[in-house]
Amino acid sequence: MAAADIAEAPPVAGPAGTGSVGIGLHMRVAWRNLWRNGRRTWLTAGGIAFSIFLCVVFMSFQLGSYDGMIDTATGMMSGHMQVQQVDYFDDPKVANRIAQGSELLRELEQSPDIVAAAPRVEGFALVSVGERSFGGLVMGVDPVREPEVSALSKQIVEGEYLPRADSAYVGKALATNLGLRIGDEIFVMGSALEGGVAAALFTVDGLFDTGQVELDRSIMQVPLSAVQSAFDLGDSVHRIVLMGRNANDATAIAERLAPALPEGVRILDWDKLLPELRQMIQMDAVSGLIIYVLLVAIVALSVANSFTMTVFERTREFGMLIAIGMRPGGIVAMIVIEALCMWVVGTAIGAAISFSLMAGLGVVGVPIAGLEDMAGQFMMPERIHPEVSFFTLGTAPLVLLVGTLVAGLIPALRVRRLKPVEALREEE
Amino acid sequence: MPLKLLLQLSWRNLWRHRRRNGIMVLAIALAVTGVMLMNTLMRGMAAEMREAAIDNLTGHIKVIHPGYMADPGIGRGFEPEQGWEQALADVPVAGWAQRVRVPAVIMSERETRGVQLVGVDPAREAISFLGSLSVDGEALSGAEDRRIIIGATLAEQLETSVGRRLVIMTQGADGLNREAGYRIAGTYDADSNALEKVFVFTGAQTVARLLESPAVTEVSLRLESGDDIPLALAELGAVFEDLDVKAWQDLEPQVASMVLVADFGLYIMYFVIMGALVFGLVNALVTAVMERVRELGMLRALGMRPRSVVAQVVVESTLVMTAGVVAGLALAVVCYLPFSGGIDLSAFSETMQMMGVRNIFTPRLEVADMVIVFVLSLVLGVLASLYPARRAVKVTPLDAMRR
Repeated sequence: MAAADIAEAPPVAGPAGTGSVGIGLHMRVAWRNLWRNGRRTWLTAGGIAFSIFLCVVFMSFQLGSYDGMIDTATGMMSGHMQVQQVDYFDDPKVANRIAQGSELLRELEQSPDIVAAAPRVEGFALVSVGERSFGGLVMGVDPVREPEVSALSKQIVEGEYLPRADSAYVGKALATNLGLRIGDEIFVMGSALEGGVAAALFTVDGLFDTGQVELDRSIMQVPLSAVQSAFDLGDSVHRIVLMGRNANDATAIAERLAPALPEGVRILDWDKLLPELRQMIQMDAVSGLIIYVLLVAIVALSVANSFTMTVFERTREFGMLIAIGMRPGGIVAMIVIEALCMWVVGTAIGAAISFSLMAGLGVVGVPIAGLEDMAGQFMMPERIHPEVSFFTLGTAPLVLLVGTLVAGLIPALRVRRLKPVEALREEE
Repeated sequence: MPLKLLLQLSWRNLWRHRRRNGIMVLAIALAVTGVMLMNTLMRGMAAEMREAAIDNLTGHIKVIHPGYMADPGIGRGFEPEQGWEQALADVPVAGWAQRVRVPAVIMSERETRGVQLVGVDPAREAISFLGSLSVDGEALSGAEDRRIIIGATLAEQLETSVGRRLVIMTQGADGLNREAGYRIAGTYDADSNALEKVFVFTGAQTVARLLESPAVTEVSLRLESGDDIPLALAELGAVFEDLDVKAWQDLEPQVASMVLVADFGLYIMYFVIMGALVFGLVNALVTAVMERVRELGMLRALGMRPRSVVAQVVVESTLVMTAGVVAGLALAVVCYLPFSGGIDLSAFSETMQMMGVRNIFTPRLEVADMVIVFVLSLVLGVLASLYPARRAVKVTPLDAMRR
């Protein structure tokens, strides 16, 4: 026990008549009081530091993984936003189309919010090679614009991405099932717009492998105009896929663009295009929140405990302070300032460790080892970059600041009921 | 010192500081309740995913041709010998089914979709989701039934309804296309739209006739208990020598890894939350020791052994921990009971479906996990008392007199 500290502490007394002391003096006294029991302060501050560290690390990773998930998921096929005929999302059939596709595409491309836009036409068709066949989604895309909105063109493992007007870009799994090689011809047959038969011949020029066998087996891409003419669609398209600068702006951009759209056409942001993504994030956020609340509650309780002990041990001291003229309010203030100092110490340690760790990892990213399977299924990126922002770094310390002050205040309020005479009689 | 005296002493010491120890017990209880409730959610989720995966025509064990996964089709079919199930005489089997499952294209007058055509013997499908489906219209009557049942969502997409005809096109064993028209007996409502869009069921013999092949593509088994899987795998492996005999964990690796994550999740959450708590616990114990320097010194002067001093602190810590854990577990049970019947999670339906979980979600509070938490807490209680106990042993009669 640092007896020297007590000796050094100046007698606490305000200017006569006011019964209060200056804030500077309060701070000094509180700070010294804190170190009268250094072990306890370190342990309590350690608890604060530990939970700040955990909350900051978890929150950064959690939010960082959301951004990564959103970017990966929207970048795969859906884009940040899509313009569609109003019924197409619920009922994706060939007839639910946007009539003047290229005109609308040009208009959308001129919007300053839009970084990239690409039209798509989709129809379900039977893909056959010789006598073998398979059912799949045939996607007509613009070979120049499509790579700007979707990562599928980058998953190429063999050949080229749609070099000619009759090229087909096919999943490796489908190619294996059908016994296809680069240069082979495939025949595509589906139901066209007016119930007629849509048929077209393509040459396989490229193979992709996304790692998701079901996806690789069920879709193929071919040039837009070939599908438009095969399905009697003229200039119609089914989707115009849009990319903004940042996935988080999608909702705002969609709201800005909506009024300018022709009748019967609507814009959907990724939130609506991929509802499972938003829900997954919400579910994860809720479970994270439970852990944070528990951590903060437990640390607040431990701070409260620490101050309960402090206040009990110092009953005599407080009694004396009151006896020599200090107002109970002044003592409460002093204890709250002690709690504040405790928070400063804990936060300094917790923040120093976690902030520097996150600053480093935020740049490098952390690979998710061994979880590639799940990464594919749950739309996770291969590396998580923890998010370093005021929110992820600041929330835990600020919430704990409130928690610590409340935890200090409640035991401190007992001082107001203190009777100086009885307190002075109390055993040390 | 006799244990009884030790306990008595520690117990009374704890009651000397009701408020402080009460706060600690509250904090521990809160932490334990939180961890347990999170755990019931994770366990429930994992169990639902596992059940859904097993129900989803997988079963506990499936026998398939080695090439079927890469190239699903009747070309990768096989003909199980009659009476193969005799090999499993010593493993309790809940049921088994032989199926023909091939990719197919289904066409209505207006729309075309890709599906999985599954030929079944309805009498044997109590082991899969097919057995408990609610069918609008009529269910399949037997393996000879020449009608089909399709998912309600698929029916909507195809703009068709019960009683109308659909054309199904698929490949025979020779690789040539087969095509036939079938009447819709009924439409089914499954927990997941994805299932409804994918599976089209008809009688096994109907598919055999279409494909001109008596082969099946899979034999699926459900055991009475998942614990028997390794034994059943070994015995089936001997019967189906040239085929792949696979457990559901191999067939649904993502689900299996989620179940594993739930196992680890308990420990991670426990140590994260309890880690924060230990600081407070150590703090309270050290304070208790430091307040009793006089008393401890006197006891030592009277001849109390250092071992007994250590024991006293350890027992105090363990008592606080036990009280907290028991309260926490009890609170967790109380919170859990109203939800043990299931929670309606339809607000999160798309994610739940994607992860193979039903809308009504049943959390699971497992006794084994409660035991784990209890034991871990006792260990933690002892660990937390080590430093305070060391501090207590250092107290000499001399220290006490100086106070």
